[in-house]
Amino acid sequence: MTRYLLSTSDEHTVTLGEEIDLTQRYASLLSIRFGDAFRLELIDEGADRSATLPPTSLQLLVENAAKHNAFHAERPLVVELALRPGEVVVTNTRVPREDARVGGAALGLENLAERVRLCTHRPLVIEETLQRFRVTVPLGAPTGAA
Amino acid sequence: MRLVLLEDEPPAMAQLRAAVVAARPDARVEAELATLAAARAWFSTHPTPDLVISDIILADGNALALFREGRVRCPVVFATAHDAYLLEAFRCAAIDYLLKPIDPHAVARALDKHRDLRTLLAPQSAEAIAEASAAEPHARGARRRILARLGTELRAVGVDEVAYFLAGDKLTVLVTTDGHELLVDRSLSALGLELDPTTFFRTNRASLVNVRSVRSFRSLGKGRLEVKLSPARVVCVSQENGAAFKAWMGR
Repeated sequence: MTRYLLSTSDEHTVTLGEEIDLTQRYASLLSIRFGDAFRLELIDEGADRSATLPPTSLQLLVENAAKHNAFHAERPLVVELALRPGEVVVTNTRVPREDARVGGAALGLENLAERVRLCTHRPLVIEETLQRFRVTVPLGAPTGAA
Repeated sequence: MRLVLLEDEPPAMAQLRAAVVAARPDARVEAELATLAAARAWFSTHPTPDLVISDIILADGNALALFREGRVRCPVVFATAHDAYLLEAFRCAAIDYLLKPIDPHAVARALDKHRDLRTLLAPQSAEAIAEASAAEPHARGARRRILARLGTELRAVGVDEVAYFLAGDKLTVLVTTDGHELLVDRSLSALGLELDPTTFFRTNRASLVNVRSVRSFRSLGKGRLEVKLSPARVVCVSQENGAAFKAWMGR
């Protein structure tokens, strides 16, 4: 993972395939840490894996989900990555922690929104309900094709 | 030793358990709890353990809340990746603060510290008890009956039947409420320490009276009191004991 971060530090974008690979590695670390309390689900709805996005954007959303929610084996945190043409929809079950800091997620998300805007010229869409937190990350055109 | 572990990450819990078992094979881990909710439920339905080892950031909140709420009333060793809670932890009953990754030796040291603190703190109270019982051979107010002699016969006189004790000629006389006089093989001072101080008062060097036997008392001036007892007897309370006597009568 660190190698990935170092190798992508010079790049403004990575391919969706690379980012999914990173996110799955990260998720497997969380699974070791939290056991049955954490689960990442990948749903392929026909995304182009060579599409581009800022590095660590999906990983960050998974990290945020684990950071801000209460979850345990009987009520696991499920993060769903829906890979669609042109976008990835990241949805997680939402159970705020007792000691949740209001707006604690703001900085990381704001930063991501800015990076996404710079690289795709489209906005990051954030939807929040009582039970779910959903972020839609727009994807850029594959490098070289643009 | 009865232990409870609070930790939301299964691998960390396994490490902690292994470290505890390695350091104290006789330790009994009574519960392994992953959430604040589970901890609240457990502590409100189980007797307090000897020690809690607790992560701070649990799956559903901050474990310090449990201690602030007063739910956990035993010493605690915190085991956490965060150093930011140090001060608050020690405001709770923290005796140690281990930083993750957990070193089994650090767990062993914390358990040693718990044991040492127990012996350090316990003898102090044991000493206090020893001191107290040296002054009071039996806990104050504990005595219910007094062994007394009537001729060659021994009788156990209930404390309620005692009107007063009188001392004279190296003998201690017990006068019962119905006027009988018996001999007691103890000094007034010894008796005074064994009897309930709300019921018995050392009026002067030669008498120890039951509050119920006091008929009346009057001032003799300069703080001295004259006390009329039943069965009929008059004793004096010295100047230095006068105020204490009045306070005791009014209790």
